[in-house]
Amino acid sequence: MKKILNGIVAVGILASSTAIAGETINGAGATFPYPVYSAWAYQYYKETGVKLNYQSIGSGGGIRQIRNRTVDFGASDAPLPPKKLDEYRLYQFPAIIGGVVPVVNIPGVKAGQLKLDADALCHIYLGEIKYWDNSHLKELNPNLRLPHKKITVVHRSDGSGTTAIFTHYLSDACPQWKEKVGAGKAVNWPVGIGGKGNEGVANYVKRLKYSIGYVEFAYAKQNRLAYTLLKNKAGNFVAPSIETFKSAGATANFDPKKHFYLWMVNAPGKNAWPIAGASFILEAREKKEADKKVNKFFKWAFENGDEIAIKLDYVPLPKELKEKIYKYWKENGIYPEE
Amino acid sequence: MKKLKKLPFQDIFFGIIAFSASFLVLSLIFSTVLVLYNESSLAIHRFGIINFILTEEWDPVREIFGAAASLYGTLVTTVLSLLFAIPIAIGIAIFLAEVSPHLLKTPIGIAIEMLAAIPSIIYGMWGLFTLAPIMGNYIEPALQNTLGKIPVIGKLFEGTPTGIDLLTASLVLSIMIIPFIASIARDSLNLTPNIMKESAYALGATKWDVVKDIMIPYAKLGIYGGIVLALGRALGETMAVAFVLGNNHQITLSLLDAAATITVTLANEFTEADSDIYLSSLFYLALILFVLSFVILAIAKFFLLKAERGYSR
Amino acid sequence: MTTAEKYTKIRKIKSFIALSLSTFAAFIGLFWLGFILFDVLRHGIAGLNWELFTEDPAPPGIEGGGLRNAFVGQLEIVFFAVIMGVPIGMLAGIFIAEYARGTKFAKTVSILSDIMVSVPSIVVGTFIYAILVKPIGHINYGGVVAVGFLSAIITFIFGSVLNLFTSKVLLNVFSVKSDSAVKLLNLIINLITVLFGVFLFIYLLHKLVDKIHGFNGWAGAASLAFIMIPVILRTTEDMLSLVPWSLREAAFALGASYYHVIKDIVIRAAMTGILTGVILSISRVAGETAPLLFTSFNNSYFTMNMNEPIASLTVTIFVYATGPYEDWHTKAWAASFIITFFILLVTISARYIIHWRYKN
Repeated sequence: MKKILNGIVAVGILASSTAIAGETINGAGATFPYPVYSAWAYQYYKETGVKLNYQSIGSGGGIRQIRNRTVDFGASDAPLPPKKLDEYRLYQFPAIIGGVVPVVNIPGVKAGQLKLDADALCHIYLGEIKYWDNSHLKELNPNLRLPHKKITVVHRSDGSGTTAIFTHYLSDACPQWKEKVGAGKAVNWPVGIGGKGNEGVANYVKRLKYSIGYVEFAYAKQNRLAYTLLKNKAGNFVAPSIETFKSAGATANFDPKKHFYLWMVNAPGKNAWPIAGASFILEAREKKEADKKVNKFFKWAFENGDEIAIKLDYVPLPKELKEKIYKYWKENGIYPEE
Repeated sequence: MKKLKKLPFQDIFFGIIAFSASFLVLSLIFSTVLVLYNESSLAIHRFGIINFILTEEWDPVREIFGAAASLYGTLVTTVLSLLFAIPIAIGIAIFLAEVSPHLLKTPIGIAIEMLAAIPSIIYGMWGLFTLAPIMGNYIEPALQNTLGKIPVIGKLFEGTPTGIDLLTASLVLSIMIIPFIASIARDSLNLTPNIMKESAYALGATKWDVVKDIMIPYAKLGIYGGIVLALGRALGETMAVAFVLGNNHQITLSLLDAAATITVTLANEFTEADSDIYLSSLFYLALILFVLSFVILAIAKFFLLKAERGYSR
Repeated sequence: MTTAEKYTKIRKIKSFIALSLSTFAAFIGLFWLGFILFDVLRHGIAGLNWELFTEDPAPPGIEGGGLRNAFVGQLEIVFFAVIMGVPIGMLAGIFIAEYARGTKFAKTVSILSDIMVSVPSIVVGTFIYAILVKPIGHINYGGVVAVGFLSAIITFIFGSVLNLFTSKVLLNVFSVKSDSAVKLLNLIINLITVLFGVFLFIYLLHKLVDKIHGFNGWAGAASLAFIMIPVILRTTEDMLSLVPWSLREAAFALGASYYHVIKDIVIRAAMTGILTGVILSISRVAGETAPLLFTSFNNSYFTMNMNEPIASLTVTIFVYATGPYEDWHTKAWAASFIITFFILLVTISARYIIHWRYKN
């Protein structure tokens, strides 16, 4: 009996000790940057022994968890406007730029072959274009043989910044969408099945023939999904790539006074990808020490993580933006000292 | 204090600890109700009760929430799964009670209970990776081509057969609850006094006559209780359904459409609800599910107690 | 053929058809079982390797790595769930089966236990989230209620011990005899107890504001314990009720105290049944996913620290199965195989114990 009791106490002590566990930073939120944050965290752990435990539960989740201070930082692709940041007492800054791409599963259609425009995408997601061989789609793709099959629409079932970026694009480019559905992290989807996270959507599109979904580019590449070309604001059909994402980012003016609040959709550039966006980090204003630890990681990532990001097809922030962020940190007392 | 003097110290001390434990259990249940109510109060005040239950919309952007879509999915999957499970389960019960050779009774009985022991997430995974493709590629198109052509019934099979829909979810759920109904039904059937069976055989009844006219009526109440218990289990099941349901908040007639249940909505959206009213509405859903389970349990207990009283006659 | 013979023939045919159908039903049931187990075996074995147990997860999209953190996490969560749930369940079961046998209190606890059993596991998760994960620092009434109950129980124990101490020691030592003196002592003790309770409540509230803060392993263990407690309670109650009263009478006649009677005689007699109930409830919660989703959450690293989010095998299976990476799917199958194998092993052994024991 005594031995058992001793054993329990020993495990109990082990279970409460932070010393043996090593330092952990907990973050949660957007699934959009999950691949790159994880890759950075893996490297960071090897170099410093500090664990960055990031759970991809969707931007909505990230915002809620940091609001409740149940995590050390939240991640969201949907930036919060300054008013909300003041209300929730949060800091906000971008960490990475990426692109949301439509992906399809049509036998015979390879990546980068199908051409879509805002109108087509909009009406497909409204449920008004029901078949792949719809006249408008055939018009955009005279060289492709589109089958007479029903389109299975896949969207997000959770609160997603990727959805926010995607629906902001649709609202911006398509007045019907703006009126009927609107933009947000979770919307009242007219049709379709919901997948959990970028991972869930990618999973469904992979399995269901004749389906269409929208995911962050890294997920499309990693899972060899067939992404489409999109017509941008300048009228050109562009493919998703680092160049076109960068082009979209070039015209973006992030303002630290507005806590970097900015949507990058429908960028005007000739070569710009129309559904680009930045992913943001949210931190609690009153927890300066914890924030410094988090920012130590991001400073490391900004200085050492560019290559990793590019390999995963994300666009690292331009140098000027990084400088703006460092200044923002210094002004708010959350700059990580050495 | 004078009385306490008589009892030895250990007795009282142990009695106190034991009492505290039962007190804790009591308070746990009361706290659950209190806490759930407290967390949902925001949504209850904004949406009311009848209105919330009847509203189909689930719109986080415009912050309008209603339970109708999730409730619909919960009810449809539960009822369908029972429809699929009951015949098989009763059949198994009859087999184990009357048909099976004596030696096989225990192993087959254990095998059926193994079905119950498999964790629900395994059902979910198997449903997603194995059953859904089979349903989507073979069974559902076949159903569409046969039953789908009949005028009224055909409405149940409209839509694209993806395999991620109400039908597949109900099927997975039904497999899960078969063992629950089967074991209670078998136990109830086995309680039939031998003398009644033997008298019937003496009169020239066939085995099926005995089952149909003697055993089943005798075991009726117990079987009802078992079914209702399985209903309660199906109502609260999350993982078996989450993978293959499709998460679409809609009330749809077609079984080949995606839908949502209260449990799956909670699993998918709980950690991600960002506004207070969103989270409160989710707690409201949890509260409704809690009340539903409680009501179902009360009904099941009613049948089971009546059955018990009947047996001791 | 006479009409009677005709009818008999029809009945015999009906019987044959009906019973064949029931045999067919049994086959269907076995078919599903075999199908599912075969699949789990097939896919699971393909994914088994040593790294699964020795390495931690690699970042998404990168092959390799293992699930060591999830295995350890699962074991730890279940371990603490057992520590929390089994004593409470057993003690409560003992109380209502022995001390409070037949009282209204016992009936109430019994019925409420059944209600607890029927609470869907995901609702348990939401309840525990509200009291053990949501920070108490922002007027979380649920958390206040939780701390309230905790302090109430501790205060009750404190008050009772104080009472005991007074009645045994003080009164004897100081030979207090007058009634009014005893009443005064009573009053003082109750006052002390109440004050103790209030201060304890305030103290705990402050202390826990920082601790109970965010997803943590303790919440995960607590939600599993919540599921276990009523099952163990009812099993204990039922098993103890089965022990014939004469056994207890014999022990009492020999001059044993109730506590001794329970500990050495009654429980020993009911042990097999209770143990089976405990083992079965453990195997039930070991496979639970939903209540862990918003309590212990998840962690991509290895940790044994229960104050933080911790990985569990079931949640990991959920995350991996719904993701798009093939590598994740393989790992999910392997993990499923291991969990299923263990749970089935435990369940069958538990059932076998009953069967073997009661055959004698």
